[in-house]
Amino acid sequence: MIARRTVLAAGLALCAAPLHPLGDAAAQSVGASAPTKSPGPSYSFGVLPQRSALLTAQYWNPVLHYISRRSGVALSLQTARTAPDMNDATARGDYDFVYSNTIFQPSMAAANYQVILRPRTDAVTGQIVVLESSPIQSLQQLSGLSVGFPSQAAFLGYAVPMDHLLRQGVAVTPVFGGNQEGVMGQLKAGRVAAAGVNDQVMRAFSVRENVAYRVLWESVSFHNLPISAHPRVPAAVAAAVRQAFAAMEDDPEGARIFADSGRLVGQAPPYGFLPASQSDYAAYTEFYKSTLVKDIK
Amino acid sequence: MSAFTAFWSRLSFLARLLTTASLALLAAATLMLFVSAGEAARDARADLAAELAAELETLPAALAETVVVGDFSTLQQTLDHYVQQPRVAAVRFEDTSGVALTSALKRHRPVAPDWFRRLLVFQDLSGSAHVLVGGRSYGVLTVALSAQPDADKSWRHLLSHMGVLAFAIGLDFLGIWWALRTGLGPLRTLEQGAADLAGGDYARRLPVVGGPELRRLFVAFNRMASSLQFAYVQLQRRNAELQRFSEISAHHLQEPTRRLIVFAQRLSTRLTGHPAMADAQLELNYVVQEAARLRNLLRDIELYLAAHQPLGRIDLIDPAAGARSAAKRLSLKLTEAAAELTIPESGPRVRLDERRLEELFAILFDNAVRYRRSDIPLKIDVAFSQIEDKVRIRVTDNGPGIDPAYRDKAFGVFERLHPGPNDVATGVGLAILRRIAESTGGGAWIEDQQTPGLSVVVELGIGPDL
Repeated sequence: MIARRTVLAAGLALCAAPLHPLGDAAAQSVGASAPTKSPGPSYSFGVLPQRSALLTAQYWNPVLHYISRRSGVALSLQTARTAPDMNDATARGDYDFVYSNTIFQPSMAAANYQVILRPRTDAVTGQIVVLESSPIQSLQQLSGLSVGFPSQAAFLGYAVPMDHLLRQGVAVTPVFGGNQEGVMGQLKAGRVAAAGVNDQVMRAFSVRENVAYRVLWESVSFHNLPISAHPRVPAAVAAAVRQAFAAMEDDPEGARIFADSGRLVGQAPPYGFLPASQSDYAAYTEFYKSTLVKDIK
Repeated sequence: MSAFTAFWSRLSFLARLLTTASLALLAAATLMLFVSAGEAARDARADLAAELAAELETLPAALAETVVVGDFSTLQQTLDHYVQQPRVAAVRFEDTSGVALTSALKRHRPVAPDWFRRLLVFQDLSGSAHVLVGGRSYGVLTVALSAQPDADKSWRHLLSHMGVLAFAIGLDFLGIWWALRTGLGPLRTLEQGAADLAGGDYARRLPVVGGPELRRLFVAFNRMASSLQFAYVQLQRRNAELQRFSEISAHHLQEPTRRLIVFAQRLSTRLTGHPAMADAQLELNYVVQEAARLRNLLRDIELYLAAHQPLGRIDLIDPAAGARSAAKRLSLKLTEAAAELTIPESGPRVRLDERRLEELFAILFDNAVRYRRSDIPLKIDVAFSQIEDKVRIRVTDNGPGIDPAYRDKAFGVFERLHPGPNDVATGVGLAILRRIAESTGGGAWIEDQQTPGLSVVVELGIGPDL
C-alpha cells in the first residue's frame, strides 16, 4: 500500500528538472536527465486514460522508453483527458499503436486496428461495486439511484455493467467520472451509490487509496486492454515492437521498470505482455453485436 | 565658494543655526532611509530568488497533466492565469518540437524611477526547468520574475518616509525658531535699553525676564545703568558746583579788581605833580596795568565758562551771516590792518545761537589781525563744507602761522605763544572757540596748509542733541 502523498511527491519529483536559470551566472544541476531519442521516425502510442493523464504518463513513459531502445522504434506516448476524447482520436486512426479495448466498437471498425499483444495478467471482468459500508445488497436496490461509470466509451466500466442492468430491468441514473479512477474517486466520496468498474483497475485503486468495497455483480472474463497497431504501421515495425514488449518482463531491466510503474498505480503482478491476435478478443466483438447499450461512444 | 561665504556671513545667527540643523537632519535621515531601502532591496533579491526556485519546482508539476495530454489551449490559459501573479513578468513553455507558448502581462507604468532601481539593485530574475514525466522531457518551462513590484513598494515607502521626514524637519525648524525667538527676543529689549542709555536716558531699566542667563544679563545691565546714572548725577552736580563756583569767583573777584584799579588810579592822580613820588607813581601805573590785566583775565574766565551755554535761541543759521556780523563788529580793526576778508555768500546751516556764532568768527578774525605779518597785507579767507552731520568752518590767513609742536597748546586756556610787550590778549580766545565747538558735538584744530599762514578748522555739529 502506497500512501497518496508519497505517490504525488514522487510525481512532483519526476515532473520538475530545473535547468540553469537564464540570465544568472550559476548553473544548477539537472534533477533528471532528459532521455535520448531513438533514431528513426517516431510512432505515436495512444493509451486509454483509465487514470489521470499524469499517472498514465508516469506509468507508460519509462516503459515506452525501454521499448524504443530495445526495438529501435521510437514510441511517443499520446493520451487524452477522457476516454471519449481518446476514442475520437482512435476512431480517426490518429495513433500508430494504441493501448485500448474500445477498438472493438463498431464505430472503430473503420480504423481497423489489429491486436498484436495482450497483457500477461488474468482476464478482467466488469463489475458493479459499492463501498463496503453501503446498505445496498443487490442490483435491484440500485433502481432509481445514481451509478457512476468511467465514460460512455468504457467497455468494462460502462458497456458491460450497463448492459446487465438493462437486461435485469434496473433503471439507474448514469453519472460519468471521466475515466476509471475518476468514477472510483466519486464512489469513495459517496457521490454515487455504486460504480461500474474494471476489476483490475478497481483492485489497484483500492490498494493505493485504501478503499474497502463490495462487488454486487461481476461479468464474465475478458482479456484486458490489448496493444494494437494501425494498418499503416510497417509490419517490421509492428513486429519489433511486439517482440520487445513480449520480452520485456523476462529482462531484468524491463521487469524492474514494470514493477516500478506497477507500484506507482497500485497494480499487482504479473506484468508484461504476450503476443496476441484479433481472435483473442472475439468476446468483445460479440458483445458489441448484441448489447442493449445504445449510447456507447 | 566666495559667493557662498559672503552669503553665509550675511545670515543671522538664527538663520545659520536653522539652516545647519535642518540640513544635518535632512542628510542623516535621507542616508538612513536609503540604507534601509538598500537592505529592503537585498531582502527582495533573496525573496525573488527563493520564489523563482519554488516556482521552478512546483509549476512543471502543475502543468504536467496538461502538457502530457497536449492540450495547448488549456496550457495557454494556465500560463495566462499564472502570469497574473504580482512578481511574474513572463512565462514560456517550449515543447520538444519547438512549439512555444508564451504569456507576459503588460504591467502598469512603473512607479519607482530607473535610477532608484539601478542604485539599489532591484534585479529581475529568470530560470528554466524541464517538464519531466516518467523520465520523458515534454519541454522547457521558463519563468521570468520582475523586481519592479518590490522596487515600486520600496519607492513608495521611501516617499512616505521622506514626507514624514519633511514634516519632522519642519517641526524641528519651527521648534528651534520658536525657542530661539522667544529665548533671544529679550535681547532686543537689551539692545533698545543700551540705545536709550547711550541717548542719555540713565533712568532706563530693563524688566528681568526670560531664562536664567538672560535674567543675569538684565540684572547686570540694570546694575550698570544704576552706576552710570549715579556717576552722571554726581558729575552733573560737581560740574554745576564747579561752574557756579567759577562764576561766583570770577564775579566776586571782579569787584575787588575794579576797586583796586580805581583806588590805584586815584592815588596816581594825587601823586601827579610831586616829583619825589615819581617812582611810586610809576609803580602805581604797573599796579593799574596788572589790575587791568587781572580784570581782563577774570572777564575771559567768565566768557570761557559761559562758552558752552547758549546765549540766545539755538536755531539752524547760515554761518556766512555770522562771519559777516563778526566782520562788521571788527570793521575798525580790519580797516586799520587793511585786511582783505573773503566770506562765501552762504554756507551749510549750523545749529547754534547767533551770538556765539558771531563770537566764534570774531575770535578768529581778531587773532588774524593781532598776529598778522607786517611786511605783507593781511588776507583772511573763510570757507564752509559739510561732512555728514558736521559743518566745517575753515578760516585761513597769511600770517606767520603756528609751529605744529604748539598747535594743540594754542587751544589751552591763557596760552599765549608769542606775547608781545603791548599784547593785552589773555590767550583764551581759541580755548573759547573750541569750547563753543565742543558744545555742539564738534571740535576745533589747526590744519596744515600749502602756503604760509594759519588755517583754523572749526567743526560744528548740526544734530538735534544740543
